[in-house]
Amino acid sequence: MNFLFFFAIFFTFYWRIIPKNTQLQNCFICFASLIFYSVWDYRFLVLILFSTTSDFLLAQWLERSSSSFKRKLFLWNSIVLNIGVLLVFKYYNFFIESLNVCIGIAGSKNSFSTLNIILPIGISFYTFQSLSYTIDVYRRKTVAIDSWILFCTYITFFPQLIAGPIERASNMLPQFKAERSFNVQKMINGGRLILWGFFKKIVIADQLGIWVDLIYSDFSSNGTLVIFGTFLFGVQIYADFSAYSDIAIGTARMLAINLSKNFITPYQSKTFQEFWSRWHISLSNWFRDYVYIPLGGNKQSLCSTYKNIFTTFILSGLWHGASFTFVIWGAVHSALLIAEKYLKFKFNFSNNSYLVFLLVCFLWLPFRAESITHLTKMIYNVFEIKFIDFLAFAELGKLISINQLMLLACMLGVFILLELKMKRKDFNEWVQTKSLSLRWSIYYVLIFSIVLFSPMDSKPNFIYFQF
Amino acid sequence: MKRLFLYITILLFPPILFIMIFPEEKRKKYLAASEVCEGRSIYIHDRIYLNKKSIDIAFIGSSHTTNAINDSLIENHINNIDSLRITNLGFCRFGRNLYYLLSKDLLHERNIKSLVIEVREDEDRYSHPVFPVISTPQDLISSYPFFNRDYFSDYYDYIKIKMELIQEYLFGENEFYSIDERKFGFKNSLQTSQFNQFNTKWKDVLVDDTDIDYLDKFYGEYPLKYLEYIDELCASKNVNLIFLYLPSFSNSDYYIPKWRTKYEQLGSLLIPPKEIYKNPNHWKDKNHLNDQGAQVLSEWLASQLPFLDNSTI
Repeated sequence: MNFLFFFAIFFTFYWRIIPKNTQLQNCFICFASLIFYSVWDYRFLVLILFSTTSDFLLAQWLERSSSSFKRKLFLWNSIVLNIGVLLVFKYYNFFIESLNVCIGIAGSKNSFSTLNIILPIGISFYTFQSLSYTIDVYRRKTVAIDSWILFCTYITFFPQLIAGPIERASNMLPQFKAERSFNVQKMINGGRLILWGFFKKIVIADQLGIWVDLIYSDFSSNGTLVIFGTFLFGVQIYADFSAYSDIAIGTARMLAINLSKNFITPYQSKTFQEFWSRWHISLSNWFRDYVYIPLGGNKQSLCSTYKNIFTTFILSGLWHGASFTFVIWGAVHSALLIAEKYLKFKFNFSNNSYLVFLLVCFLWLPFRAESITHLTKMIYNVFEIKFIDFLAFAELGKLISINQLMLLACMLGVFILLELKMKRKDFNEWVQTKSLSLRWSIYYVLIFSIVLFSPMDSKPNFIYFQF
Repeated sequence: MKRLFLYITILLFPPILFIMIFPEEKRKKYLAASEVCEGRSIYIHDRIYLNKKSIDIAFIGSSHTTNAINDSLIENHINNIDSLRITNLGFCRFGRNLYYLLSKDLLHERNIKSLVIEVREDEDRYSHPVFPVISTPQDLISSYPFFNRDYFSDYYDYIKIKMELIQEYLFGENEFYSIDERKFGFKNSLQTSQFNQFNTKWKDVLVDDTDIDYLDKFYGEYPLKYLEYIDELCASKNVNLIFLYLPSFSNSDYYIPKWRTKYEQLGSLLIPPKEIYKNPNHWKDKNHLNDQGAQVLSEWLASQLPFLDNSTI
């Protein structure tokens, strides 16, 4: 609700007070974005401004320099700075703890101390976005810009600052430079995506999240419920993350900026390769362009290709979080992709997507587990299942009233039905092809369910905010 | 822009209308405010609606009233002379619009003789935070819009609270909250302030009512409007309206409320002897009287019975 108020005020100023001046609009976006970011913790502003300014300057020097050595030096500077910031804030404690475990196994009693630091919100997203810019300038795919404000606007653009999509300079900078005009149809399109995003977040993700949290904490010893909870988490994480992306894309569209698609109904994928081209697309593309292809892609031997896929997925897993559970998640996904693509193992029996969906869902287990020990225990419990424990379901059902359960089931039905109907379209593209009466009926179903499920006393927290 | 505005209006109007007209249960609304002020809202509700004991004289105000008016003591004192039922309906924080709502509910439900409203050095400028919680859509729509900083935020808070109540109604357990049977609303405190009357500098700024400037009038417009509403309410029910001066601690010699003239136009103004307020031993903190202070003040109020109960004389 606070975001909607913030956006309503921003929107009015943006279009009514400074509608014709692009530079002023950019300054305003930049200023509002920094304010927006500082709401979480104003101290992190220093970090984001440091990252932005250093990459802005390095890209300028890269652009001006003709010496190959200097260009490489500037690029490595940018890589070391960006990855260094990530290493310190996100991975330092993980590496130190892992090192201490290794030292302990080796029999030494010495250990290194960890740092007491908070992970700055959105750091993985804006670092990757900023890094992609300097790499693109190095590759001469993008021209370095000479306006710091413009660059800062691109990095800190508030709709996608916290959790993506991770945008490329080649998509965003021309839009920030161009004159923007108010177009009602664009506003309506953006509004539809925002509405759909709020529905997915408030009605689906947050409600399922209550059960998932409970299952993974209090009921993790019950194998039946672990399987059930993992499937619920599969729906929750998709609804949650795609909701953020839809709200971001919709919000940006209302400011006449087009962000790239981040999800294309990924659970309808028939192969793993297809799944990764429809799930968190901006991150998949980033790893493809800046890790997988530079490693050699599939242009070398088969063995190298396997190694490159494996490395890319391990890094992708680590990008999500500093924990071995994410490494396992990435490793198993890479194994499945290799099995599918190169060992010609078919996951799409009778040309449907169920097996891919089931495996992807099951692989959320390491993603959601709190530690390796937690994961091992849960997997053990799953393999220990002898019968379906209906009593545990009844216990779980006590968490909410029968009315709420029925309404939630209906809304889950609406969500799944609409997702199936959308196929490769987004909500906006799909709904605008429908008749006026059906369209408005859908709007009201969404909005009334949002009213009925809105939590009034808590701050919304998207799962991907922690990455 | 107009077309977009139209779309948003068409989209949001039905859900907002649904929220506004969804039936409300008075007690649930008072209960929703029970997280603040130590659950006094439910005491106030039950004292007005459920408690069988009659009410002759009611005190409405902020925590100044809660801590200062020992209703049982006044009742004991005056019952030697007359049989009157006194109640303290004070509720924490400031905001005339809440006192208006409480007065409205009280006067609608009970036949009282006198309504005593707390006044302080100056008027509260803004809406009471609990106003949107217990107000009805009619109260909200008819709330005074001018000079009202919280006009829109009150709507927002109302919708937020109402959504919570709807969710509770549809999905909640609907647990019954037991009836608050307390007969008196005085909140006692044995604590005594540590400040020294000779070196206390705060609140040495009480002004004379000739000192009201343009800005005071600007800010005063909104709260005084609600006092006028309360006055109209009392007039329609033939209830005696009294304003009782309950300032914060001060060693100042100025000793009159800023809006004295206005209060005297609307009702009667009761100003207790300044010795009660100038004694540091009577204070729990700079804003609230302690047990001793409340006792002295309440005894003095009991002595004002003909004044309080002038409908009978």
